Amino acid sequence: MGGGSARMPETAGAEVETTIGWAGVRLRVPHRWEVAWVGHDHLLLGEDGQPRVEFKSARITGAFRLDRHLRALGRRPRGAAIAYQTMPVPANWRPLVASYRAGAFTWRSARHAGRGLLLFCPCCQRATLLQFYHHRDPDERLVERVLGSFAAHPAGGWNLVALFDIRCEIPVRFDLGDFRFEPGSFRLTFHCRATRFTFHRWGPADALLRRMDLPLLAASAGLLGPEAPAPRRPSPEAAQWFWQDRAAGPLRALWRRTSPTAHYLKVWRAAAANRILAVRLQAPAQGPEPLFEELCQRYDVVPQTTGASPPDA
Amino acid sequence: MTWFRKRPAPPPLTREAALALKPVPHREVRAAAQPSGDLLLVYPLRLPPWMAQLAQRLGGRQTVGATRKLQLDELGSRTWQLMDGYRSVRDIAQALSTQYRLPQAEMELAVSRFLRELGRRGLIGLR
Repeated sequence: MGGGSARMPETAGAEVETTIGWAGVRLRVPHRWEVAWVGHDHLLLGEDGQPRVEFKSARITGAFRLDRHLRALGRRPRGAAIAYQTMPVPANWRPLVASYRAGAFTWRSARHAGRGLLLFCPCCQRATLLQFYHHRDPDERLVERVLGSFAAHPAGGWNLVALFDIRCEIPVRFDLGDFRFEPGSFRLTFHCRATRFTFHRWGPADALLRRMDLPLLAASAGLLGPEAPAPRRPSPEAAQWFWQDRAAGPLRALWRRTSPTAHYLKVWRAAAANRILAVRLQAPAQGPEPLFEELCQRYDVVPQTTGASPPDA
Repeated sequence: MTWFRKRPAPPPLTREAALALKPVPHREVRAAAQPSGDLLLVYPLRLPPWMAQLAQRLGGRQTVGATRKLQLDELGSRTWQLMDGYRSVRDIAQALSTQYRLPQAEMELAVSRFLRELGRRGLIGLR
């Protein structure tokens, strides 16, 4: 889907910038750049229908040989749509990516061309292929600024997800399961072993809540199990649940062999942004409440200052 | 053999061009306001001629004058009200985005999908 671009506007010189976080990578880009394509470990940002920058990122297990990967990129298999050619890392880029092992390349496809970097962070074992699209007059300073903001390290053990208007932080050990960015409804699921949590975001809140209240919304979205109790209402703008799955019979209990599953759910209205947010955590009942509380605290939505196009300073 | 040569497909619309189109409600569609404030669209049922004939032969209901209804939600109703033949898809999305404080691009997508659905039912035209 398309999406707005109201992620933490910050001014850098004359241009308003926003922070993008996805697949363990953080970048600061001009506010006018929008998400053009989101994949599981892939993001493409564009402006006015023109791609600007793209990255693919993956956590590497085992040894990573940068030169081998660059050579593999340079070998153009028959029928490949993109031709890569390795080159030394440009001198002006070197200080910007000093903390990474880096290799540079130029690339060309039928419609586009540009330069890019293959970056490997030895601390967090993350490899990222970063490709800039060059149009008629590449803005070298803008490329440098974006590259300078590149970060593939988790901050304090938390990875940032900041896309469209949502911003959440995820413990590093959790992997992205599935995601959906539909107009009016976003959903992101992360999992690590038997623990799984999902972020939801709906809007506009005032239109939705005119028809139903928060518990009814949670039920209609399928977030409440049959054993969910009545919600706790810490405030009129929030509803919270906790329940445990009880094994229905000895066979089911034997099948599960584990302790019952604990479910935590919080739905609240972000009034300033006119959205409804929800976090649902499912875990073996071993006290994941601190994690749940922290996830809720680290999940927010960035309000739109105006419905019009992002401001150009 | 050039008789059966396929006519080349028109180039796909760019996003800009699609957003600049102006939706116009079909003149035979009636919008009835509900007590909730939402709109109920009532529009004539148009079957393809072969299906209408078949229905008639099989002794089905008379299809002439038959209508169908479409209940719109709040956003759909507001979008319908904004369709005056002068506002473009982008203008409508911008108005809704301001009103509901949702990102412009998200609203553009939502409005485009809604208009596509209305167009599929033959309730609007685009100019």
